[in-house]
Amino acid sequence: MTSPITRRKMMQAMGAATLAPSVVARGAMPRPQVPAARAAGWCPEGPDTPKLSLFTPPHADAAAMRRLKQIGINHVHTGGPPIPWKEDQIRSLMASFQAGGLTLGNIMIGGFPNTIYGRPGRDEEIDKVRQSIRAAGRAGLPVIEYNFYVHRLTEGYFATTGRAGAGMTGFDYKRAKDLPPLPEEGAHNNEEVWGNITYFLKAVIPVAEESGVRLALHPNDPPAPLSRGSQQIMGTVEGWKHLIEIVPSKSNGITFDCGVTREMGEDPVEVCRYFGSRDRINHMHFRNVRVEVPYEEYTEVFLDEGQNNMFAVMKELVRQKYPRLIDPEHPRGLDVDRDLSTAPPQYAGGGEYVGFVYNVAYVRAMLQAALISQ
Amino acid sequence: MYKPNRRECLQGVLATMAAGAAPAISRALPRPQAGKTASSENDKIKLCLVWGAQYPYLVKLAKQIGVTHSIAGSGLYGVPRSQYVDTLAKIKAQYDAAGLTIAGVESHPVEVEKIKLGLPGRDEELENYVAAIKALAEVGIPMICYDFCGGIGWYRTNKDLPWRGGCSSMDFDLQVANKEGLTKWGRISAEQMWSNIEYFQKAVMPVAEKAGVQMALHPDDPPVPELRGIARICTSAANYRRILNIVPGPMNGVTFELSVFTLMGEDINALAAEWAREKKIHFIHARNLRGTRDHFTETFQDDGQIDFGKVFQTLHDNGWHGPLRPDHDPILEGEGEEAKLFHYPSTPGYGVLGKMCGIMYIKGILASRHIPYV
Repeated sequence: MTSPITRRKMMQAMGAATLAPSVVARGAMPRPQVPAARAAGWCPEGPDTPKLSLFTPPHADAAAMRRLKQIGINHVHTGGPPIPWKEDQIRSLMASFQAGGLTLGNIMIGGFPNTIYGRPGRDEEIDKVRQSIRAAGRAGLPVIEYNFYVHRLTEGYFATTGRAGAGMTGFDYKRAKDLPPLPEEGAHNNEEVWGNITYFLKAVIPVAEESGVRLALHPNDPPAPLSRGSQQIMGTVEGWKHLIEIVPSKSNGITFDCGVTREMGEDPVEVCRYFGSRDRINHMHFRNVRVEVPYEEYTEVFLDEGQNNMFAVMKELVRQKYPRLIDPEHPRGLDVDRDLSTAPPQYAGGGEYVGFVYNVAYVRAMLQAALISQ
Repeated sequence: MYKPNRRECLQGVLATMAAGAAPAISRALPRPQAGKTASSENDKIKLCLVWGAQYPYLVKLAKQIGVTHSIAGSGLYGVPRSQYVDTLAKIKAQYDAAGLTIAGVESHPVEVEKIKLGLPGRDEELENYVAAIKALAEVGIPMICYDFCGGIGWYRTNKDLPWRGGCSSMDFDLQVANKEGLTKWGRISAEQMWSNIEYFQKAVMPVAEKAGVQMALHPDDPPVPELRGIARICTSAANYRRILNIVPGPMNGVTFELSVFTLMGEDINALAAEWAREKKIHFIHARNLRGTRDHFTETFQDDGQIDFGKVFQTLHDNGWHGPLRPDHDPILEGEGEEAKLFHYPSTPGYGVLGKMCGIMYIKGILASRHIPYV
């Protein structure tokens, strides 16, 4: 009875889909008149519920976007151009994703090292960030994400293996704790960096508020106690809490990462409630981890095998009515991704598309289950 | 049209008995199922994939994504009866070596076309069937998923329907099917099919009861009363109850195919509760859809009209924890590239990445409801 889909047929389908990315538009086949899932009282996802999102490069081609649509991804986040951003740049980024049926919900901004280190030149950088926020606001981008690391201690990461040899990302502070400061970064204590970020936030948050844009500060990950001689302001929940008090505005929020929360030995449900109830979660990373020593020794594992109760986290996000992006990031290293990849993974022991297939299907089930459990 | 007479029927039963089958009145007690190991595993739903031991790359993928149970093909087509046990023992050893537990076989272990259509030669097929059941029991394979779709197996009018993001799904439209005309078997009445299934059940079930092999009847898919001139009878819960009472016993049960029972217009939650309590559900196929019996489209598990969580909860609440597998899933466009590694003949409904979407969605739903699975 079965007729195998031949490679040729697949290619034909792919070619046709390239010409007309919309499924409905493809071919002259009559569409079945079927009730929408929503009409049947099921599929509780909607415009005000959390949205699964994957990082997608700014110039993703049509095929790459279709691969996301197929696994049920309708939202993406990406990296931004050099600052200052122009409104038409942001509009064109949003439009290129929209052409693939994807809504761009967050762009990462960077390129302001003098601001982080409190060096001369920071005022020019901050001005460019303000211009970028205004451009994003005019283009209708809701969230801008940023980092404020003195140094990211990726030197402590190592590849390890888990279930049936799948790649896991380990972190061991001992591998990196004695590394000296890099000359271009220097060593900075928290007092200094809090001063620098306060200077930054006081300048940019009012602009973000006016522009209708929310900023999301990514935590320090790994949250090691010292990172090449520098303390990490976003390496404790206490730090996260302090951040949102510097400028009391919904535009001054965090990227809530339940994996990093556990890496610090904290309870992600409680932390989610704290920031969610204050409406300061402006972006979200959904991943699991197995911790040996908080802050120092842990392994990033599959979503279904770590110490976090992922469904409890999802339920808390839904209970707090979090409506923005959820990124099931850091896929584990499945053989198929490793065998197909021509470059090393972004993180030691990490994976790619097939790992994301795994994550997205699992997290979508949890999202739907959480929404109907309300 | 061929119809078996009373004498042939009797011959069939006698042949079965001569072949060592239990008397038809046997009421075997439920026996511990073969192939089960740790008692804790018995209380968990067994998630299965159909990637057999002959596909080592996929076996490893299954284990990396945390799936250790498998539904095997029995491989007895064309094998002389005297070699059934040896053949199955080899298959079983292959799976053991691969670290996969065979939860059952799908579909019929031997040829059945004459049995289904009541044609001359069916008694030999039945003798093969009986021997196959005994051989399966001997090597410790506990379940057969079988169907009684005469002449036509599962059937779709379009097996390459463009779906979400340009992937390939399937669709059935009775109006289109009706235009395809009769098959080479001509017209076969419901009465004839009832007679055929009775003949089959009376010959086979006593053997299955004695051997302790679960017989899990898959519904006719699609469950229309007639397809291209051939009547279909496994098309409603009422008909199922009648079939299960031909030779009632604990081994005589159901493959609870969520989407087909939905298409029948049954209340699948009520049915799940009833049959789980009666221990009639030996196997579950989880698949989603949109539409109605006469015109429907297969969807991803996450965007159809069946609320899987609700059904799984009902099953769990009624003590069910048998084998379950994602059934048809759309074929993802990117499979062309990955397939080079898989060495697996992806056919409609059976793409590797689509199957991953299915199994991970099911895992996410089960985890969200704290329903134990392995």
